[in-house]
Amino acid sequence: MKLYHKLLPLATGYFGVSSALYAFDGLVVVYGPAGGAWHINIEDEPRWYRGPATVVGAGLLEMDVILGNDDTFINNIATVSMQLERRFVALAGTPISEIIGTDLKGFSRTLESRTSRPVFMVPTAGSEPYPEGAAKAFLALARKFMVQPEATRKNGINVLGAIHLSTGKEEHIEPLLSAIEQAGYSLVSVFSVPRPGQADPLSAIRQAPEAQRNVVVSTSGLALADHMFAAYGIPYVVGMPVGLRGRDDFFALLRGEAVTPAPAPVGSPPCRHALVIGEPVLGYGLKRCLRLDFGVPEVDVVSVTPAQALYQSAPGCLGTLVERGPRDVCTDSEQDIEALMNDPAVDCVIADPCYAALLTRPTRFIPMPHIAMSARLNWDLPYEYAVDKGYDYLAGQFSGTPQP
Amino acid sequence: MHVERAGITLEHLTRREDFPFAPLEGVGPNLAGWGVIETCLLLPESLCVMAGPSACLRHSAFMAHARGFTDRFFMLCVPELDMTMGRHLEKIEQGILDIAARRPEKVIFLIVGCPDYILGTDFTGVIARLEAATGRRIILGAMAPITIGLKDSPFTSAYTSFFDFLKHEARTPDPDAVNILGTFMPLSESGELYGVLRRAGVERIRQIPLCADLAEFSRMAEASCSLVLHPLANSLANRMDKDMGIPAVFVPTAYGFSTIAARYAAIEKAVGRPLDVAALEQGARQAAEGLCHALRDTPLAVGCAINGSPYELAAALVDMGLHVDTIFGRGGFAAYEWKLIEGLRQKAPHIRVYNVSHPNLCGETAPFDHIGVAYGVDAGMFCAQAVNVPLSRYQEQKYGYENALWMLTQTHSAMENPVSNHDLIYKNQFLI
Repeated sequence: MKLYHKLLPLATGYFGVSSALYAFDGLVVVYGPAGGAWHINIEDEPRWYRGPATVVGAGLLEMDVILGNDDTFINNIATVSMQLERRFVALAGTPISEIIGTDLKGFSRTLESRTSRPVFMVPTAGSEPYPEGAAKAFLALARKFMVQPEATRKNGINVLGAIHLSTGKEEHIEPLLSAIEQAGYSLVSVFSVPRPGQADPLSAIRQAPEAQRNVVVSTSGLALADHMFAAYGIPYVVGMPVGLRGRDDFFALLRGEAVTPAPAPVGSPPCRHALVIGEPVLGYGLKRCLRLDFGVPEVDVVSVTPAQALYQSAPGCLGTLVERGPRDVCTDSEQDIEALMNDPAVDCVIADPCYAALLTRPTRFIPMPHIAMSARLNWDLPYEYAVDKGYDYLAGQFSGTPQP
Repeated sequence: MHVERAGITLEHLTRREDFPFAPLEGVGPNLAGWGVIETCLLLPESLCVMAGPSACLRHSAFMAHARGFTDRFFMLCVPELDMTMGRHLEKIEQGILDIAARRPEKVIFLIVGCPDYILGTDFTGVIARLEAATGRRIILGAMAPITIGLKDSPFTSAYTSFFDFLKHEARTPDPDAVNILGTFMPLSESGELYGVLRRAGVERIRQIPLCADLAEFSRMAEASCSLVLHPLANSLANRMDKDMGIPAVFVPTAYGFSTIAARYAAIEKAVGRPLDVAALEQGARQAAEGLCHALRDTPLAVGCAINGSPYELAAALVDMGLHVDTIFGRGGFAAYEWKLIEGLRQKAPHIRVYNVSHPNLCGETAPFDHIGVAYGVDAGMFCAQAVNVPLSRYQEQKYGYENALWMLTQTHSAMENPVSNHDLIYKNQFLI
């Protein structure tokens, strides 16, 4: 059993559903007591502030569980979704529905026939990692809305997995999206960052199968990429390009070229042994940047969400920026991460600022907020990771005064 | 308009059933304060271990971290399947043994969530073994929002559990000792209520958040009476009255001069000696005149995230000759609040009351653009053009006429140097 004391438990499945579906003008009903949905909005979904109520709670109470007031809830959900004129309804499960075995799939079918709107459920519980919930939500969205393409858009790109729990505010992923467009590609869709000029955010979902390539920028997008390869034959690239070399290698992979060996950076490295903690795709992007742009000799990655799927070859994967090292680990254990951070050999830690509480000795600490850890606590912090801006941010951190 | 379904005028709010029903919980920043964790940790020499699915733990962890309770708060992640199978009991027991082995606290609160509540998990054996093995008191509690509105809230239960640390104390009533119950941010010793009580000869005034240890806390058993400043404490006060003979009076935080006068009258009766508050009232009324002048023509909104009842604050503002336009309230009403509503309906039937949890309210700001000052961060959410005055229970705990003047000076300060509602919520952490 995991013990947390100084850290927060990471966001779980239905938080991931919220993050994945927020931009698509639907209504996400978290099937649990009001408190669960309240906390998502207030803490984990800062985009909610004065924005649409994408996530609402079912307001489940004890007697509802005992007596099973299913009809009431179906009526309430139907009423609200019609009044608010939402484009779809998604039902997300919680520990309560998991334990009492609520038939959310049956709810969905009933609601769909009653409201004549698209309704689907996402089987979440409350203990699974958030990428699992986000991935299931993306698959549900794809199965509901994607249509067989009549033609392929040359150089059309879908970006998969850009959920705010992994990639933060839209402005942080924007440099990557701009770089993709400047390189001559067109963005067919970005899951889940709304693109300018989209009156119907679901149109991008419908058109997504027209893309020529998919780009997976977090593990939340992997399952959808595999699905779209199987269903539409769209190959994909995995990676979050951080820094200069990461940017070049990313576009080489997109062009279907092999990544060429990099010349060693000039000058002495800013540190000898760095530890990167956080979402694995970004973690490996940071690792490449530290090694290839800054010449850091040792960089280890701690993936705090499951990363196994990243290491396996998949038929649709054209290439990846994920290169697993011998000391890379996958764990969200507070005790294990604390031990790794305080290894005397480690002289630089890049992680969400919450992890700084685990340091027991002075070490350079570079903040890299992971919203699935710190939510709104670090939402407004200045930081960058994508392409050139990521390089500039790290260079600025290395040249500045080390933080305790 | 979507938003119309979420509100009703006071004129038509004549029965609880009239209040707009929220078909789903639209959830606004309106549930601030008094989480189970912070309530438990009011007890000195205690720590809290919460066990449950990580989603539930994450919710509570935010509150504990934001309130600076990290040092005394531990979380044990339990998957749902383990709970259903009852396989988590052994692990929780071992987890608490490990924590207790390296911590000095004498009391350990074991807090479980809705799943264990629904499953009816029996922790009796676990607790008995843990108490025997550690020599600590182990108290079971629930962070179970699924119980809201049905019985004592989890917060009230946690607060009431403190009774177990008082009930066996030798009871030698001290006529010069008074308990103040229901404060989280404690009243200042230099504050008005302390001064009033001391001038009346009440020498020993005790509040739970100021007790350094359990020994000091146990001296609350000596009190001649308890003053209850927040409904949370009513259940504890009632038990202390019934089983220990310590009478209690419910005198919640108020902003209106007439209400404050009534509160002091009730306190006077409870402590059994005259209180000298006439000069305080006169001074406060004079000071308020100038402060109210600038607000005369400003439409005001009151939310339920304030320290106190929104209906009491609204009535106070109306009595000061000000124009309250809107109230953002919760679906549940305490009996004392319903009396406030009935009084306010006579004075200002035009006031429109919204159910702050109604999903139709979320994202709606245009209907409230005419509001000039919004009290409470929840009201500030919807009143985007208004100056926001949080009156949060996490700022300062004040009482009496001092509290009314504090509210007015806070209003002036906010009007002169407005802080955005966004910054109040996301930077100052008033909500959790």
